[in-house]
Amino acid sequence: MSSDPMTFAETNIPREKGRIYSRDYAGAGPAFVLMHGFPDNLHIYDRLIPYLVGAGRRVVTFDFLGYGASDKPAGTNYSFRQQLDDLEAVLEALDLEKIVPVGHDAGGPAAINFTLDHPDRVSSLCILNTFYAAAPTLQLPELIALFATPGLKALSGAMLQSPEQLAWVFRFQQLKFLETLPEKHKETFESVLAPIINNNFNFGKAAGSGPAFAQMTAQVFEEVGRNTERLPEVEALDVPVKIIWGDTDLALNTGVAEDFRSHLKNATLHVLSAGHWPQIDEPEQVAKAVLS
Amino acid sequence: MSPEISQMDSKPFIEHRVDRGQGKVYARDYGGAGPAFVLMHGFPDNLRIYDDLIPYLTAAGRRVVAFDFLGFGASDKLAGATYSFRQQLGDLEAVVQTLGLGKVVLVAHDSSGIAAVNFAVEHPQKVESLCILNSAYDDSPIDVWPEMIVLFADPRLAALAGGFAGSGEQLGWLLDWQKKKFEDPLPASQKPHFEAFMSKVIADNFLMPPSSGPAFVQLASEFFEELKRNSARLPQVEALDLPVKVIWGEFDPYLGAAMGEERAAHFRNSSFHLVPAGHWLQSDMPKQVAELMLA
Repeated sequence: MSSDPMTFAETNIPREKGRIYSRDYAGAGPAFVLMHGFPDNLHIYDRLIPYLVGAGRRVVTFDFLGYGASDKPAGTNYSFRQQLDDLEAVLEALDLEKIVPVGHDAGGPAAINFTLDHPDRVSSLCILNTFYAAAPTLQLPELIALFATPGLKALSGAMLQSPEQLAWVFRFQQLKFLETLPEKHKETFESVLAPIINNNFNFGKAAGSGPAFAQMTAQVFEEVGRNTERLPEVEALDVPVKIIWGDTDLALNTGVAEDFRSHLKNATLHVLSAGHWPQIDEPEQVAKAVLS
Repeated sequence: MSPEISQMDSKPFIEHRVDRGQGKVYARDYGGAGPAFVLMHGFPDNLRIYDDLIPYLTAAGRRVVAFDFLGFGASDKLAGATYSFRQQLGDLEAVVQTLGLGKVVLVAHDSSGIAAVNFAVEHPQKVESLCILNSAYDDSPIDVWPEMIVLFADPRLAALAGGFAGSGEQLGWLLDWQKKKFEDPLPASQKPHFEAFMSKVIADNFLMPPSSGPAFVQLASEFFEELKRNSARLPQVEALDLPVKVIWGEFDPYLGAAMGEERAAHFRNSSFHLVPAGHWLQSDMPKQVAELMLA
């Protein structure tokens, strides 16, 4: 292998409407398939990937439709179902049979529901500060609750249309996350994560993830309801699950991680001194847990 | 037909300051024959929302009392004051007692529907009749509330609401946006007065120091619980015998006509009157509203 191990093959995978952008880093299977959440894109894994590739493993990451470098076709109906189908399309296009799904934030439901639908194709499942079903301590960050509350649809829609308001509410949420983030991670939060989110939305300029974000967040309560009905399947699952959690996330808090563990037969819990994006705050430790 | 009356024709009034322990409630008392109309304001405003209406009531020879709930308008806004719907009911009781009003006609608007109806439930012998304008009382599946209320009422959004309240720029944006939602459905003929008058009353209420923000924030955070408590009181409401006029602006994009009809249906002895005006119908069409109140 003379080529740079951090090179990747780019593929644009067609869907019914638009194409999905994916990156495929060569290595041994089963491949890690990394999925992002509501406000961001595949770049939230940029700090983690070198550790996984460095361990000789194949890594695939992609932007869900409507996010990052994937297409954002006008008039698209975004949904959790569509994100699960995005994952299936990526696996088929890249000929990935057995995988390790890695879900963060709103990428969790796709990772977990894929595992329930195809347990034979999942060698293990990794979930990072995500949500799935109803859990006693589950809270939504204010930004998500704003967009998820039906009685506030007109207000959140107006904020989405205003570059200044969108910038204000995203910054508000970032400051909330920063309040509890350990001091040592604050610099990385500002220099790595904040630009990913800000670029993702462009704050009113062209080609932002606003429509996907608004539609997906509006469905969060329904999705949690549907997933709650699948908890018996979660409890029957034999697949090893690694629950990897930043412990200063007050919304998707460690109570949610504990709740995941209580529903799983074969789970390990890895609590890290990190925030909502542990793969950015502590990439080496997350890699260690993922590779364990 | 009563003559056209402008605000300039207002009769003089006596000012009262009614002690409430944590500050004084400001009231205006316009002399006239009883039973007195007692006019109450809602979440985002103060007694000025009745400036256009009062001249028609006083011209008919009636006594009228309007007051600012504690924390609003010209009433005291003491640091550390605690505001609640129970305290607003107490404000009303104190005004009725201190001014020696005897039997009154309670006039409710917006969030003061709660104090008015609960006063009638607790003191039916002190109430001649009720006039209920676009206002809140109970928790119903048909409820739709202004986004600004939902934002400050939903506990999951408390920190975000605090972020809005803590920035004059953000609060100004939110107020402008919310006012536009109320103004958009108004008939074109009513928009200029809304812009020139009501819009300023609302903005001043929040943005001119001392702000009514603290009272608004505390009351809004209790709003959904209070609606549920009031739903439990509906059997007592339904037992009331007193005459009730539900007078409702039909172009209110939130507290719609269906809410008004449902409110009227909770009273045994009620009439329902739809007025082609907005949420602040007493300012949009004061003459028509006064005629209905005086009928």
